[in-house]
Amino acid sequence: MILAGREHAGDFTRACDVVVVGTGAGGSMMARELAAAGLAVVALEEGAHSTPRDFTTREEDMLELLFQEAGARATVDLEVRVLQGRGTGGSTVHNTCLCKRTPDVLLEHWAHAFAVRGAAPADLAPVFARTEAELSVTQVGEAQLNRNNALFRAGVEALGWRGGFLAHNRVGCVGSGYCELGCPFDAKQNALKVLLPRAVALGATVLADARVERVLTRGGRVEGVRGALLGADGRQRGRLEVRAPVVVLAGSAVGSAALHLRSGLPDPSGQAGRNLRCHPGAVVAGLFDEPVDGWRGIPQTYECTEWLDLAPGSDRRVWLVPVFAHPIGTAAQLPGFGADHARLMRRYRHVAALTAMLHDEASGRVRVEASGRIRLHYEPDAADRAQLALGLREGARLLLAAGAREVLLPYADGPLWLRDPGDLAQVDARGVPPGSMTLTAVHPMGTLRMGDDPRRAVVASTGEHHAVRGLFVADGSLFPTSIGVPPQLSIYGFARHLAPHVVDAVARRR
Amino acid sequence: MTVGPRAAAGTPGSAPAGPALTRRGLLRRAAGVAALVGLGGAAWAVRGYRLDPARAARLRCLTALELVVLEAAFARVLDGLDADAPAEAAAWVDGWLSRRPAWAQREVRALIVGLELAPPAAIGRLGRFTRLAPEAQDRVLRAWEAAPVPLLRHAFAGLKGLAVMGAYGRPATLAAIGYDGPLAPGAGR
Repeated sequence: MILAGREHAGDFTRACDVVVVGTGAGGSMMARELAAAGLAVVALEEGAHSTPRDFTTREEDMLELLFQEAGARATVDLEVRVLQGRGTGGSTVHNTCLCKRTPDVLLEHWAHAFAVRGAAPADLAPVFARTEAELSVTQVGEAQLNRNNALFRAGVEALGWRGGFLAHNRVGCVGSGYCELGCPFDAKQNALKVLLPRAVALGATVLADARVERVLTRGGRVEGVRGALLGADGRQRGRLEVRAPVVVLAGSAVGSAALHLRSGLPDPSGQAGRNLRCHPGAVVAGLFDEPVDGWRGIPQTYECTEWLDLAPGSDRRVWLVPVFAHPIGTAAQLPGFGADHARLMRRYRHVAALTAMLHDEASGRVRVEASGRIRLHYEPDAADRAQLALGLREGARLLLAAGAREVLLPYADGPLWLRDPGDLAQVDARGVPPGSMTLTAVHPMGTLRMGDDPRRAVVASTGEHHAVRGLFVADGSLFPTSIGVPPQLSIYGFARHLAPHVVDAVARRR
Repeated sequence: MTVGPRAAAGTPGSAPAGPALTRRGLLRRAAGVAALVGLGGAAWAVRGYRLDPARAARLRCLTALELVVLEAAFARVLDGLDADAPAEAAAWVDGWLSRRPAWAQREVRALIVGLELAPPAAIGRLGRFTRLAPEAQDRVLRAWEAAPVPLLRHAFAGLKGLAVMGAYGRPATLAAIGYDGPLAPGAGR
């Protein structure tokens, strides 16, 4: 069953075969797979357990309920806002249901450059196929394009660029448009709806409001985890301790790395917490004569891959995709303040927007202060900033081709307005220097990277830690590089792919 | 200054020794002076930050001083919205902040105090932010928004973020921009 720590009397102590830390894509898949293998599983979640009844569609409520740090998580220099899920289901509750497999070119690169074994395209294809079937992944079509996406598609087609419909894990979608605030219609086929209930039905215990503060080890072996039970106010109300011979970290590339660091685990490669990539994105907004009402309907159904080549060393590393924020998100993103800002917001209905998401090569790191506070150090380098500028320029070109009256680039010191393709050179002149605009990232990865060389990787290709027996990782921390596509299917898939190794590890310890 | 037993004992040709000024005594006097200055400063500092008792009683996290400064800032950031927006947004922030961890509360408090004391450095004007005319307050905010120092730019972004979180969930603001959400309670499954 799914328990709420806020309702649990006293401390929570338990012994089991495997404790899974985190209940997002990786943790829920792992919990379900392990429970199906007959193991005694306890899955712990720091955030609350919510259901569609709790999803009020009010931004100010949902930011607090569904996002880390109430949506205010950011890099230390505040250049990149990092939106990450919190609560049962993790980021699968607020994401826009995009499902793309890990690109083959990157799986092959990881094998050659990072000694990742057993995860070649042929190895993972059946894993992804089973996962897609389980999560009801299908390609969306013409009927599901909202006006924002239709305009985007018109721009792609007018320019003769490469583009297409995206695949989603949603069933019974009514097109309410509140995907990023949690679906009140329960149409997302995500960790919360599909995997956690199945894990529970197979005997797993899922405990929300359970903050893991330390991984327990002895003699190079994992022994369990320790932490705190949280009340509804987020304050500690009891002790948490789960003893298990195997522990799976699945709390995201930020949370898992932070727990690794906080626990003082051995790190022979020196890579724990490093190699943080996050797909930072820059927003481009077009103002149209017609109302767009971009908040209605499915937010992201069409993509443009004209500027995305995922081969290592590529000079096209930008994915263009429609994006739309509800009023708080939009108002925060638009530059300026006061009457000018209010005038701009009154044109909200007429805005179409896209994001230029970077397949980033520069990397940062996760650190933990003595107080326990997580700090993200991440700055795009010059090459990545040039790619972001390319994305802004070509995104603006796309919206102008779609018929935008004018295009706005949200530079912090004042918006840059573009009215025809002749203005696009201004973007090259401005570029994206540090601090020039707020970027948004929703895909942290890479901080406990995998590979069979213990000098370069934190965990092996099996997902098991190189220096702590019985400790596994099953989230985006694993990826040795940016993956250049939305990561949820990759995380579900890798968790499923690695689960048999966790089962073997339990058998070894019995 | 000489402090300690040698001075207290007096030396030939010196003025008659008064009461011994020991290190501890000096520290005690300094502490007394500091306390007086502090009290005076505090009295000066809180002038003009009074809230009516009913509003003060509703505060959950911010002090009256902090709320007054925040409202003044929001009045500029949210200029162009309806007249109730700044006060309602500031009250919302007070409630929201009460649920945030201590480090987040400290950062917001530092931001508010920093803004109140910003005018001399930001625009070369003596005085507090809340005492400036609206045009001068806008100049302070613009100075932060475009500051070469990242910390100040980020402080502005944080302030603006709080303002829009507090304002753009209000029915009056949403109606003004033509947004038909959020859903009515119970509209989902």
